[in-house]
Amino acid sequence: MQGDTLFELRGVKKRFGDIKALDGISFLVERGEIFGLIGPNGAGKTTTIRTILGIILPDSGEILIKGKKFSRDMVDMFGYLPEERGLYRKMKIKDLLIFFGRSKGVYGKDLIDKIYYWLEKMDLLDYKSKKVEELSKGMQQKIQFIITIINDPEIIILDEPFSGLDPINRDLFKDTILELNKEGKTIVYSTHNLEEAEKLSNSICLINKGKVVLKGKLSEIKEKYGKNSIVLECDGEINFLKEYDFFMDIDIYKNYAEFTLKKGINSEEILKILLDRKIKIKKFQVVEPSLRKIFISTVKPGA
Amino acid sequence: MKKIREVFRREYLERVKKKSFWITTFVVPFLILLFTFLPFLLGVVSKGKNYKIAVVDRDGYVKKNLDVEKSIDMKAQKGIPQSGKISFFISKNDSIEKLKKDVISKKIAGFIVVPKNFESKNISFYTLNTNNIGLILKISSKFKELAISKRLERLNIKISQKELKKIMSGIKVETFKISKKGKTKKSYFQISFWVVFSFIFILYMILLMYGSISMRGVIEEKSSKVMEVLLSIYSPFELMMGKLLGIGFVGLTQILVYMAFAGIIGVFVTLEAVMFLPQVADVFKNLNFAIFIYYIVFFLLGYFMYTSMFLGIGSLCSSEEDAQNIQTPVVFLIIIPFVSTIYLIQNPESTISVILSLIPFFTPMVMFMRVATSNPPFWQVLLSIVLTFISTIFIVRFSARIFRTGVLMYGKRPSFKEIVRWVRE
Repeated sequence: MQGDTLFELRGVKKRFGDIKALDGISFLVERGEIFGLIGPNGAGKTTTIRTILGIILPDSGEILIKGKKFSRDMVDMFGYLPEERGLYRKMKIKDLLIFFGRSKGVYGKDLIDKIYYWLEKMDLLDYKSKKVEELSKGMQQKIQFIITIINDPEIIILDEPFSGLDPINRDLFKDTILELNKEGKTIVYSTHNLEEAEKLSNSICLINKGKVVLKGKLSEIKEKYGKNSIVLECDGEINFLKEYDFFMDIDIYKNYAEFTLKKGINSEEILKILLDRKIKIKKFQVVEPSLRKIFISTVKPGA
Repeated sequence: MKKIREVFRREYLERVKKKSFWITTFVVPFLILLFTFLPFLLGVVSKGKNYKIAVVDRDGYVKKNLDVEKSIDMKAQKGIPQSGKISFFISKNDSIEKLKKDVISKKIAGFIVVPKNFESKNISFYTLNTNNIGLILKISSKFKELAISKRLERLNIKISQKELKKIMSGIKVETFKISKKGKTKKSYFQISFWVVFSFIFILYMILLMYGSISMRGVIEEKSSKVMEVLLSIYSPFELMMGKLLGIGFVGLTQILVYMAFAGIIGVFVTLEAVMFLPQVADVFKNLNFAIFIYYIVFFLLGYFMYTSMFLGIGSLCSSEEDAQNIQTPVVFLIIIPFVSTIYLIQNPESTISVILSLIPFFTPMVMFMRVATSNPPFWQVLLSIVLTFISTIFIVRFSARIFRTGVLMYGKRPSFKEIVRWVRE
């Protein structure tokens, strides 16, 4: 099903008072992919997600879902896990899940089956008659996750899904997300953790200060940046490299450096300089740049 | 509609399941009911009992005139639930201490001390259970008879028992109200004063209570951050309407339960099966079905008007402390008509009363008071309902606009200017 556009943002703008929260965001998400919305804190990730879900209306621009403008009756297509988790503290787990299930258009036996399936999967079956406030934070996170997917949504939107999770739940969430994706669900999630995005996404959209900085298939992006990225490990002073005008960017540590070459510059030239200076080279490798590197190089002011 | 239904369902079920709801809705009126029937229940227990009462006669008149042989059948008096017999005997000993012992050992049910010249003094009755109204009423009427016949004797008037009964019976003053059209209607103003007032008090309590309950609900959803998920499923309008209807139905349930309880008492009153204080009985005889219908109509109007305002306010606040200040004007809109009815109820058709009853914010309480205590022109009643209905629609829409933006705001409370902008947008 790859290559089939599921939804699209076109020039979405949103102001809050004097602040331009979204300044013309455009990207498209294809059916069946895992789409990472990446950006530093305050970049506009949550606002972008809220406009997709119709929680806030954009000032201008449009959001097309399956080619149609967003309307209220589309909400059941989505499952949403907000960044700030919250549940009705006084409700019993089962009642809570029934409420949200019914709210999202799942009823009767179908709903009960789904509730039991997910409670069992998340190892929470024994807690079904307990109140939310009696559960640990980790358990509440799992309940919130179940709510997100209880209606078997086509599009699952997760805002910082891994924040505040312990390693065990993190793996559980990750595995579940991958499993759901395998079943054909489209997953859009936001993160500022680039290692995570790198491991999980098919496509990414990097935003900063309300603008799209970089977007596309992760493999294509890496290829674009990848041919001229070099990791160097050595003995000896290498600060002198900064004096050369060969680099798009350069990151030098004591015995370690990462840099990206400008177009037309050959990696051999660098190697030659290093050898001339009699630097003991332990490792000189042309690599795909980490997303982190791409992120820093695109987001850093003046870069 | 489906979405509104689910919010409605949750709000209703979660609140109805609460203990506090059960206590205020069932336990409290049940206790009231129980106390109303208590004399009846006690009467059933003491059925057929024979009360032996000793009389210490320091006057001498009682000895001669009280028919000691004949016991008094308590059932003879209408409305007294206790049945049984009272028989008096003149005590031979004069020692109160000794008689007290007899009462404790249950040889006698009690004793009466008749002082010298008792007709111008008080008579004392000593017994274990001073709650036995039937017994006390019977004794007091018997000694009233004796006192009056003694007074008459001193005036040299000799009359028979039958004539004495006639002399003692009083008459009731019935008041009739003349409406402007010249119709007369039995007025029940005096007896219904407290009833109408308690109706309005319950209305006031429920409006205030459910208003602040719904406001707290919204604040809780905001502060617990569950709001974000809700808004991904519901439009703010669906959310607000669901809440408004759901919580309103809880209030309606409560009122209907109260009315059912009142109905039960009413049935017993009309059947005259149980003794009530005559005042209570009259009140229930005078209540009519239309009053209940008006009550529900005015409750619903008031509820939607005030609660939508409370919901709007709740949406602006991130914590309950936040809400304290801005809810004050709305709280006043509920307090003002409540306090004014206390004064207006004495003259329900005064100009100020008519004016207030036509101002939508005050209509629910003031117009209900007018309908319940006097005969306001029907066009005024209808006009007030229509005006309140229209303003309620406006207020609901106005609040929905505030709600729409407010629910997503955190931290700083918006300024008045900002709120005005949201409403216009």
